[in-house]
Amino acid sequence: MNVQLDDLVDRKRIVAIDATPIPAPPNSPHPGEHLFVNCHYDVSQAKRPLHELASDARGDALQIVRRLGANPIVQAYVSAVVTVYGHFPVHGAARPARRRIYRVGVLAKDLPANGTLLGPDFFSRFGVDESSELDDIIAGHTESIT
Amino acid sequence: MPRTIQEAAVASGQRVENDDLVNFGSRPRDVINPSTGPRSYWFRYGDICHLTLPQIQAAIGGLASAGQPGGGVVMRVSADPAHRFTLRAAAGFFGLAEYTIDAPVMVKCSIDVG
Repeated sequence: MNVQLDDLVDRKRIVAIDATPIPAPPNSPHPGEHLFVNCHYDVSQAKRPLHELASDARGDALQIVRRLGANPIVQAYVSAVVTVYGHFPVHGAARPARRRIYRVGVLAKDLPANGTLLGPDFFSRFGVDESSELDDIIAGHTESIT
Repeated sequence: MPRTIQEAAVASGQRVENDDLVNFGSRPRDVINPSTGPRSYWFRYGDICHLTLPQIQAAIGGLASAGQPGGGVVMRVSADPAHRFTLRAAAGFFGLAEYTIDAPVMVKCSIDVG
């Protein structure tokens, strides 16, 4: 699905962004299709301090949310779920482990209209859902999609 | 339109219950004993069976973009009961609950959903 985010891919920090509509699970409190936008950081980013990664990921998510708000197509969905993924080398492992650096969900009705510039307080002003797995990265856990 | 996970499961002839926990990977396994670490991620079959494989891959993180071409084409069904797992309550507005476990998991069957 083209939601016009390709220009955010700089091949340095962000290597890919994809968007996929997904119908909610049967017991979801918000039935209907949600738009999942996944932003992938290059594995080289894992060398950076985690607090910097978290800050950048939140900023990138904010930028993506702003762009989604300016796209009328997105209003057809219940919410937008924006996730920034990193790929972290793990001691003894053959490949990096993928982790959510930052995820935010915003109901479509709360998306900023017309691409309004957003301040860092945007997510705290609305009932958005934010989460991260950075604690797991610090603890050394990895993911088992093998 | 790609087939749904449920359609793939029915076509396989394997019986999967809605409360079974499932995990996605690149190949069938008898045990999920991650080579890269202790944790594995699972989902309740009844919560995801209506999705197609591309939707699953997007919901759990774009496996192909994670450097694993063909990732997620095999669904592994846990033989272990759900109470062994940690339920991470459905976050956000989408409402998909995750189950995690930091120990090996016995698999009762693997189904090609690709």
